[in-house]
Amino acid sequence: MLSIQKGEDLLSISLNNILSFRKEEEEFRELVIDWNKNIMIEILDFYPVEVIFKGNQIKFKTSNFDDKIHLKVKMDLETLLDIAYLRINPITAVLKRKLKIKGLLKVGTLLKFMKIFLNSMKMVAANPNLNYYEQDKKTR
Amino acid sequence: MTETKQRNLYDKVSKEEVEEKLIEIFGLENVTRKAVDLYPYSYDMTECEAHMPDFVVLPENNDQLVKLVKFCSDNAIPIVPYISGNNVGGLTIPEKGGILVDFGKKMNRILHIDENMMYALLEPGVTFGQLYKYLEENYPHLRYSYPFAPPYAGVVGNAILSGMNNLSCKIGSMGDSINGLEVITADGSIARIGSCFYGKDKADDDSWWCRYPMPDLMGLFINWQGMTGLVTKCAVQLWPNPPYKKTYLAIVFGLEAIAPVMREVGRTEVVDDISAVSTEVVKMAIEIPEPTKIEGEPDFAALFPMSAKTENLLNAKKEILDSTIQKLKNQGIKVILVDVDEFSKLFNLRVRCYLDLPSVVLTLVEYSGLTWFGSYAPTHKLEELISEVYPIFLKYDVSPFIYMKIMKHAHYGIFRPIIRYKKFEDEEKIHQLLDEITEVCIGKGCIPYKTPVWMTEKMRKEINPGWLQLFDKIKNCMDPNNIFNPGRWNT
Repeated sequence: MLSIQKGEDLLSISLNNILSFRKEEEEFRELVIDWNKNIMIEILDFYPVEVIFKGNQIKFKTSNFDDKIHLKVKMDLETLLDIAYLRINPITAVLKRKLKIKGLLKVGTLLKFMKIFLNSMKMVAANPNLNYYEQDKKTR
Repeated sequence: MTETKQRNLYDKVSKEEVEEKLIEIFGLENVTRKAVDLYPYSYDMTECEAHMPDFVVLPENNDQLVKLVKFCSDNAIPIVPYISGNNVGGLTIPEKGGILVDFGKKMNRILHIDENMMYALLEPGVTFGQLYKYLEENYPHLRYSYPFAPPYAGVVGNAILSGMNNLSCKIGSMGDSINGLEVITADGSIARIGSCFYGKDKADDDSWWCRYPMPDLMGLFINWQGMTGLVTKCAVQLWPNPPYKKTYLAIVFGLEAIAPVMREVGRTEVVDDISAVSTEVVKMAIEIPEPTKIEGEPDFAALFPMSAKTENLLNAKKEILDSTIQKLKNQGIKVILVDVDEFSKLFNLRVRCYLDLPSVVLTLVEYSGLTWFGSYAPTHKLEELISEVYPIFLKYDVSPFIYMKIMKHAHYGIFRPIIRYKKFEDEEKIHQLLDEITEVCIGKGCIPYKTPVWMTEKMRKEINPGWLQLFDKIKNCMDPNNIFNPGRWNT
């Protein structure tokens, strides 16, 4: 059973929403359960959020961050939406310095981050449903 | 616990005789004096003091209402009009008891839609959900304007109390959108106001198209909270429903920075509506129980719905919006503009309750209690209002829910601190909070609408004596026996 913390700040709420979309998906669970990594996401103009993958839990922190951060990602909100809605691919975003990643050399962690976060964002964005009451109740 | 206050309504005629008369007029099945039936009409979501009516009647037609008004005039018995009880101002609490007229159950027909002159002729009980569905199914090329209110709230009440809806940046107050009214006045005569005034007995359905250029008697009934007569028909304007629509969301950092954003975008004349809510209101929609703002979060979110007949026109409007936002950024204002459909999918679809109107914001009413200082506001004072009202919420340890609008392309604004609370538990504290907010806002020139009695009492201290004398004269002239919703505005 995968548990994703319900955030109380705007970015954690959003991350919960995105990650929960695939909560019931086997492939997604294999990716995140026991990954045991701390990922820092910072949306420009907002604030940093640490996403903690530990065992079967995903948690969020907006302060008192862990010393050990495995990957730091920074972008603005427009870039996040551009990636999710396929207007720019992440590689181009990195090359254009719209997406800044600290820890680029940790290839395994980076690839997994892309599979977990970026793919989930794209899937949520591609879902045509705009009605909360028609969402999959099991996951969200 | 609500109780009927001591009063002497039945010195001219006994309560039993009143009941007999009401049954004669409305029929046994449409009259009640049972406490169990009366109780729901004795209070609303606000902290305003509850009071029981003595009777509730369900009218079906004007003949019944004319008889009722004449009878009540002769015997000085109060009449309180009621539609769905969703107002946030104690407006239908029968301050002095009497007969509550519930229009919502049987006088709720959409009488006519005029496609040519674009208006809807409605009975008082028509709800927003009903009108929305009816237009969508039968006249999809026409639209009405909808508020942040549940679909079961009344259209006519909103219009005659100058509510504001999701086309308000274009058209202003809903009171301005009334073409015509039919009212029963205190002597039991039926008056038709507006272009429908021709015709001795009956107006043609296609004659409710304008309120000018004759003397505008509409003002005798709009915003009077049912104190001058019973409105039995109302014609409201409709608008073309353009095929291209898009809503943008401005995320604004800095408490006061939202004010120039709203004003500047309002003046562009490209948006249908501007509604801004504090971040705490956004979080409330997604079921954060007592939302607070953390450091680094934006302070306000503003919605800008736009519509156009062609895609090119919509794009041109977007271009103007983009350049306005860019200018604001150049002035140092931290604002991000995004497509709300895109954003809400990634953020949380529950926030769409602020978009897909009319809608019930369930979390807003989940504690049963809801109250506000809903006011028309001078837009140049918005910065001061926000910066002074926000800390008052924090002082009382209540999440600051602030909702604002820009009306009629920035001619004026709406400033509306809203408070949800546990009814019957927190009323005293919440009333103190609201009282403090009221002092500040009235001091800055805000004019509350749908006002509870305690608020009009405060306003009366600030209003010029000439206005008050004229107001009292008109009320006395229109309603010499003070039968129409007595007590409102301290009458």
